[in-house]
Amino acid sequence: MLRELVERAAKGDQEAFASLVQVNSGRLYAVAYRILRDPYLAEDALQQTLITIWNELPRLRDPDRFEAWSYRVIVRASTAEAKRGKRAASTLRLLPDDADRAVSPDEFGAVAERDRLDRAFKRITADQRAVLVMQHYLGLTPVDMAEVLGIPVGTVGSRLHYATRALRTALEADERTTSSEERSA
Amino acid sequence: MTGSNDLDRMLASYLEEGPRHAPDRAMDAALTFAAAHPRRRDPLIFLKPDVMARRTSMFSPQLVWAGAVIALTLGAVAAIAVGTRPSPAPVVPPSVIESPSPSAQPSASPSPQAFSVVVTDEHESDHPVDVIDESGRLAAVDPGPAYTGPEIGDAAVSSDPESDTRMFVTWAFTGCTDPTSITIDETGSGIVVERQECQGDAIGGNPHQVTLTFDGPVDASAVDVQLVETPG
Repeated sequence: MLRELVERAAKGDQEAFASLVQVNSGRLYAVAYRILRDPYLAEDALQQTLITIWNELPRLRDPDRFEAWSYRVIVRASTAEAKRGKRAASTLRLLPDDADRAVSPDEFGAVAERDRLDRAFKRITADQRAVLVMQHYLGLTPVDMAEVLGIPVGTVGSRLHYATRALRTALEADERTTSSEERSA
Repeated sequence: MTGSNDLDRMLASYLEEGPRHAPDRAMDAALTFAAAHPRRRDPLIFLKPDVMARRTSMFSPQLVWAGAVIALTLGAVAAIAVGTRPSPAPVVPPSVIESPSPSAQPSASPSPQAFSVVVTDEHESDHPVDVIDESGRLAAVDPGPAYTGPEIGDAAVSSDPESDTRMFVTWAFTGCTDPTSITIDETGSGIVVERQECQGDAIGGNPHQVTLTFDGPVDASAVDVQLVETPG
């Protein structure tokens, strides 16, 4: 089914391309959002990706590799958006409707931990966030990631190592800052 | 301190949050673009590289095709030129002029030298590295020093600020077993770092590094380094 859509869209069939867009945009936007942590930048990355897919699809020799290729395009578009740094990183977090209810210490700890991770994740580079999203969100193996990124498997291993180390360093730095703020308060 | 499993768990849970549906605006914009740019048939599409090609190989079908087309064109032009040329005048054999002094014989190219070192990583694991020098200028190879710079993609060379006869060769560590070989070409300006392709799910570590000492000053910025992975 997907293969047929890809083949038809590659030949210029606009209806097939519209179906490809409908079927694939959700997963591509989800990846872009998780790399960029910004809905507007993720939207721009998705739009750029879909246009690239329309323009370059005839050069995809094997239609069965469409999914991997589309991940490659969205990762590249997302890292490019991050580097452009449009609409600086500040995003407004909406509180859930029940935000004013009493929060237990366990829940408070979980929220604090999640916020700490959010700050640390935003501090590492977009390239590093991309490999972590591919591993922990998409569940890709290093071999799959190598195909998506078009780099040797060994380089994927190296990037994962650096990304994890950078995230851990950012978390530790955040922990130190929080502790010193609490002491001075 | 957050443990490795804790971090993985936290990260997986954190990344689960977030939207899974794309905004209509981006999809509509792409469809409008496609409608405004209908695709025309490209007769030369077979010459363009596959978008999923990892890197352009010397023997990629596109290059082979392009080479064949160029060769045929040149052949046809040469055939036309030879066919229309007037027959050449008789050739007078050149007189032999003796050289006033015997010319110097070209020096024989140096035979490759091989060095072996063992790089010990941050986990105290040993990795043997063979260095093959075809330039005849390499005097010594030493493991290390431990690399502490920024992330590197594949392989890199850098000057040793303390000696103009030394340079560092650094390459990303795959997490799979080495050995790695490093070959310095005859000119001394090309270095190939070769390692086996890593097929497993191993996670890499810090880059590995060796120090090359030459018999005279060397300029690392003029050296081209390539990382080549061979099938395991």
